[in-house]
Amino acid sequence: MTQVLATEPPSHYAAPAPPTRPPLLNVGVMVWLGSELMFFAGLFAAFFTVRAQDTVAGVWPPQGIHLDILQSGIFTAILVASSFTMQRALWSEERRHDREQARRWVIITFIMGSLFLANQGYEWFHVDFRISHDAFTSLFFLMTGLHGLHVFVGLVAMAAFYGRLAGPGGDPGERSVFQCVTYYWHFVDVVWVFLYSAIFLLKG
Amino acid sequence: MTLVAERPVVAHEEHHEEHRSGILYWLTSTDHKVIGKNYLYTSVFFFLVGGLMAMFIRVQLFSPNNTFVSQDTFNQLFTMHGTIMLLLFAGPFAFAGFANYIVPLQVGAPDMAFPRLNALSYWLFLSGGLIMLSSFLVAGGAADFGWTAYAPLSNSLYTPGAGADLWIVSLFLTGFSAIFSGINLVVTTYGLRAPGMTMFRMPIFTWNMLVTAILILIAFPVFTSALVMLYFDRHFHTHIFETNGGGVPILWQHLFWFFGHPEVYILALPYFGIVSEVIPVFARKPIFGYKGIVFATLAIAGLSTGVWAHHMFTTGAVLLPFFSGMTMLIAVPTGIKFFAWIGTMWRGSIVFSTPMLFAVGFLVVFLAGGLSGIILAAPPLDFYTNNSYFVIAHFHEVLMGTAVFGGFCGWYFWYPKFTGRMFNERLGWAHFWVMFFGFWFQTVPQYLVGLHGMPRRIAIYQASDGFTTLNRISSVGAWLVGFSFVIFLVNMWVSWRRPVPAGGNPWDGYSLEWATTSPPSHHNFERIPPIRSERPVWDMNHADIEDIQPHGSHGSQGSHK
Repeated sequence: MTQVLATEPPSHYAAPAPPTRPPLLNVGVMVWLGSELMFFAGLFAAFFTVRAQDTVAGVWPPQGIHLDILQSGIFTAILVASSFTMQRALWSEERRHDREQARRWVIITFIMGSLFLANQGYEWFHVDFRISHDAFTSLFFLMTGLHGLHVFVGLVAMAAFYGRLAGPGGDPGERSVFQCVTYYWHFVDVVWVFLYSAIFLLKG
Repeated sequence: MTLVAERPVVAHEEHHEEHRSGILYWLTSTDHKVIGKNYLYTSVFFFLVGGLMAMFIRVQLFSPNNTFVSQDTFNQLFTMHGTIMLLLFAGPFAFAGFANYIVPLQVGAPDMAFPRLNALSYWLFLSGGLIMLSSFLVAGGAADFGWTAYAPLSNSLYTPGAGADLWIVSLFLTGFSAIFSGINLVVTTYGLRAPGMTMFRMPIFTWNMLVTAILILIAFPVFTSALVMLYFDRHFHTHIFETNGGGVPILWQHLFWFFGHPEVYILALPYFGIVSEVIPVFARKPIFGYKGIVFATLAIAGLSTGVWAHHMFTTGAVLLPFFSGMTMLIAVPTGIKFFAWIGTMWRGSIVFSTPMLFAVGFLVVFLAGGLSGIILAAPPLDFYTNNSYFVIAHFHEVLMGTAVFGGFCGWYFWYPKFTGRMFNERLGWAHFWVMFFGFWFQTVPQYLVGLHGMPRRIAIYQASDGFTTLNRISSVGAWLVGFSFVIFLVNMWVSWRRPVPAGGNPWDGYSLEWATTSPPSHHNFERIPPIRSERPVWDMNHADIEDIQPHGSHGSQGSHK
């Protein structure tokens, strides 16, 4: 079921795709992440529309909203750093063919992602407002929540892939899956950087 | 030219699945042809359900002060009619039905890129569709806020029932189905093209499906996010679309139409693709202006993401000149396509078989709808006609022109490929002419009654309003359209009970789907003819004819990669 079907005899059926063309799974995941970007674009559009229509000009976030920029900033840094550790994990496998090292970096990434998510949960229960307070708080919980859901999915994917990485290896699709989990993780991180900037840093 | 395939294709698998049948095979199949047929049959079922609702609506509007249905039921009927026709019929019929079945065949692939994801798409679509229908059964009935679900009408105060929630959940699921199909299609055309099948040798149909897929990936996720926000507003006391708490009701309109306007091109482009396949085959000429059509398609897709606020002219909150200008610009690439289709027919040996009749019907109907679209794109005229039956007539012309005339054009064209059987040409002919005449009787009075001031979405008008005669003509026309589908069903029944074998290539078609058997075997091709132009099957079958040089492939004759 690959693009070589029409030309190659059956013995080549399982051969990996030529290096000049990325595997179909990678292309598919990239395209899917493009659609995910549009999903978050819808949320950002809502956020900035609400901000533009805010009746008390010059006060943003709305009065009475207090967010701990520093604490979230630290965990933002952790999440961004986890992008680098994830890439390091991929390179360990791709370049050094060291599966054990790759596993270690995946564990480190997993821990960092879990820390971020734990902080997200902590923050949710310690902010001094509820989701029903106003449009800003609605979007605060929705955007961080939907992003958190994506982080969680990334952690599940990472855990599932760790199981594969702990096996003997050697199946041709493995690296492609590894790359896709990495793409996804980078995507989740980059979206968070924009979310953090919009929700926490934007003033006035 | 030679008849010998230079790249002999070895059937890489025994056709061990070919003889499987029964419910278990159907439930578990990941074959793009089985899934494609599932989509086609399911969406035609939804079309008939939505069509029945239209018949009821026209009964209600036949007389002034009519009490055929209650006003509440009427609201549910037009809401469900719109939603079902657009999102459960017109979209899935072409994009997932025809796309699934035809695109892998046209690019010479054994299946879609991700067959299991493809199956997931179908089951999401079916569950979403059944959830939509099931909303009639809950207390309070189905959603009744119109298919656009404007805030604040759609919030939990004004629409408290569970029907609205089922509407949201259903569209959430079908949205995911569309996104997954879109991903699958992009990757299939990217990675599974047969050797020799360069991008500019892909049939126009495949091109249009590719562009549609990209539009889906742009538009549907935004709608999904809007649905999530709406659901939270309804159930978790958020204030995103509500003014108390600083929310913005008009935001819903922006998000909805940012999805909704590309959506109408998601509903149109695939059908443009279908007629672009049918017209050359029945005019016995290569398509005129191949690259022009491709770039026009891309231009339409690009422009369609920047025109959403023309649905919101009367809100007073949008920049009229920009959105009006962008909207009118779309007429340019669409015009290019029209000239390309006419140029294809020009001096061709046209054969008016049923598919060609529908293709020409599409041209006429869609042109009329497109022209009234230009009227609506002009803000002064839109302010006058907004929310009237003029708008209803406009979008029924464009949408029926594409999804019904174009869609059944494709149905008749590929029906022999899907089933291996021919249909009855006389019944097909009758289907077309009854529908075509019925359609004009249905639509033209709607334009007129709209100009006389009849608003859309009303269940009752008075005799003194002066709408009666026009509404009666329109109702009779709509029933004729409905009756034409009885002829269609009879035709399918006859073809099923008294099969006439079609053979592999009954129309002497051009593209690769006609190079295989009807219906194709499990992995589609025993051998693929050499692909040196946009018409590989024509090249193979008519190697002795000095062909007209097909447009758009002059520079690529020597390259095979």
